[in-house]
Amino acid sequence: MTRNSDIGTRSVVVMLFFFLCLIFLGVRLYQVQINRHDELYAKAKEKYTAIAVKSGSRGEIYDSKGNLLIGNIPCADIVADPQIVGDEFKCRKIANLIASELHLDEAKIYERLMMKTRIVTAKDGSQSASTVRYVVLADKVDFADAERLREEVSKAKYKGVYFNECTKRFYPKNELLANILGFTNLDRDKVVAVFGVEKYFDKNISPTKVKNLYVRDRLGRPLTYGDSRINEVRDGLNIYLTIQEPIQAILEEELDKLVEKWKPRAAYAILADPYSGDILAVAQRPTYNPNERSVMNPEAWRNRIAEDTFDPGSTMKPFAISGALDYGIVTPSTKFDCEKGRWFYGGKILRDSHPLGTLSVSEIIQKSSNIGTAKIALLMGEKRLNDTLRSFGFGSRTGVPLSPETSGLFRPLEKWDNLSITRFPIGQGIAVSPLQLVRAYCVLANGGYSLNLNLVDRVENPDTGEVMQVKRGPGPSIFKNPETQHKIVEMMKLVTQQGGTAEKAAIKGYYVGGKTGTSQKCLNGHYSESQFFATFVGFVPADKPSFVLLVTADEPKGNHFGGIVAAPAFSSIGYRVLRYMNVRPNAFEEMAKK
Amino acid sequence: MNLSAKTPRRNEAKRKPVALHNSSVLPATFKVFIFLLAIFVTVTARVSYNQKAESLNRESLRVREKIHRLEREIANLRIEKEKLSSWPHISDKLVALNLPLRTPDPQQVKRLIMIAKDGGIQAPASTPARKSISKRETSKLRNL
Repeated sequence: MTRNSDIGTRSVVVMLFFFLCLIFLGVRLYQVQINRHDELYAKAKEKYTAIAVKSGSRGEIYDSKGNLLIGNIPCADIVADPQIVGDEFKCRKIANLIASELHLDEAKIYERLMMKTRIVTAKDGSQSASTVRYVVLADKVDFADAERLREEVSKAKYKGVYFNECTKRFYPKNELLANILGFTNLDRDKVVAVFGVEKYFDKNISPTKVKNLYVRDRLGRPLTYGDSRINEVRDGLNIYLTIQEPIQAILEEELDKLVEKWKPRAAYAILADPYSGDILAVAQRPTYNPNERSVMNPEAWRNRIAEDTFDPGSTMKPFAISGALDYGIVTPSTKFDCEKGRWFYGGKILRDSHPLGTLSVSEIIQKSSNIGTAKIALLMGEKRLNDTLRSFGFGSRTGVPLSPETSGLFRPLEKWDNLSITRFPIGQGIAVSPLQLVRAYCVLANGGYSLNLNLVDRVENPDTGEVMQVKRGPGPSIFKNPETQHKIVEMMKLVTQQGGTAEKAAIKGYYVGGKTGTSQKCLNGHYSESQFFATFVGFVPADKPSFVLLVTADEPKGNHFGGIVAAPAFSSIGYRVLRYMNVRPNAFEEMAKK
Repeated sequence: MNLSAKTPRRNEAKRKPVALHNSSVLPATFKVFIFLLAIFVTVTARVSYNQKAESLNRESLRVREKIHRLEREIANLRIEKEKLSSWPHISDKLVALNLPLRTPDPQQVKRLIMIAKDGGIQAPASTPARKSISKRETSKLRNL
């Protein structure tokens, strides 16, 4: 029999127990919610908050018409978590699948998948085993291969294999314009621009990288609520070059023919618009394929047109003579005795390639007489000659966005010796870059207006669609007499006509104004008797040029004259480019005038 | 001795059931019920709303994922197109397939472009539209 007092006692005990439990829970709640709030909140936050590093796309590079020259190709890094992948059998299966799909070494992949722990040596020298949660099985796998493999992996229900999306720089035109475009390398995850346009505009075309913080669910998907910080990434700017891909292709193809025929150590060609200074095409040999890094040779990717200099030789003569014409010192018919090809001046002998008698200024250009040009320069005097050559831009950079760019070698007037006045106008003792020579010919061709060369046409912001056009245009005229340019062009037309030094540069139906250059290479302070630069530079149609074109072969084999080696390449490039540009032949124009 | 077996009644009043006042308990219960119902409805609505939002979020994520994948595919195809349309590739194929390009024969030219005096290109004059002429005009023409 239970007494009421017992029931009452028990009730009290139970109530006390529950009360104590409540007190305990209350204390615990206080501890958890108040005392350890920060610590536990941080722990929970860490677990449910994900950080994703997001990067925009590196800016792409196009030609002026929007043909892609450098782009980003999607690809994937295949990684695995060895703790999730499974046992030996599973690892063997996965390794076999990946190796057979991507033609990789199966043993290596298997080894990585089986790397469950790693021995880690601490700073104090103690060693401990650490579990491995991340191994790279294959990096930068092509998009199509990665997608195919992803399907296979998901079909076979393999766990622990992940496909991390990434992009890699791709050069769809391979060798085309490779020396100008440059390339990038990867230093771990960082893109490093090595040279060329890629390097010069690296800051502009690099995208922004942001860290996004968000609350995620069990599968890692971002939730709509919670404390999240999402920053927008910005893609790099797209660069549109002044290059025209079809013209570039013509230039490269014809330069290849020149290289095949004359086997030079190097060759380069530049084609530019003389009125705007836009470089429409530029090529050099040797070159390289930026998509095949394993066979790349630094000698092949060095940018010769901006970095290298050479003695321009006779291609300098029109500048000195145009100065003499502009100052009114000579006229096209003024006669000079060319001393039968040998002339002593300043204790040194100056030779012509062929013995020449008395020639007019026009004939001096046509026959490329060194002696005649030197005598004209003597009449000009050092100061006028210096001013003339500098006004054409010799000794200063061209403004092309390529780094490094040489400013050439042109001594200041006070450092000239007694031979300088006879040697500089014939392109000896002065070194110019191919770009400088093209710019100077652009000035001659456009009527004497100074300009800078351009390689960039416009810059586009892919996020906003905003386009920034690069400002350009000719500067002031360097000629005082407006007739000077016409006179010098008439003389330069003779060079490609019968009796000129570059008959092979002629283009049927068009007047070509130009000049050959055959310059000895300066080696260890002496001019070589066996190594030459063979150059032809000119513009066409001569009276209203569509372009200026320079072709140079460095140490051609078999012949070394600019009129033999470079002039035919000029002619064939010029013919094809004129057809592409749809330029009317001069003969047609003359008929129309009649 | 007078003994009686009887449990002594202690505190009779306590054993008397307390009279419930229905009129005051029911409204109170109803109020609590309404209060709890309001909480329940609010919480359910919130949970349902959250679930809907999350479901939409998941759907939008799926669509975004799909768009992203398509964009990557397009980027890949664009690069492929650029590769195939580049002149070095075309010229290689021309050589490989022995298909040399040449200028067309005169009889193959279907359309000529007139070059204007100022250098611009003129479209070829289109054939004038036929129009019907009156009998009178026809007779005039015959008389010519």
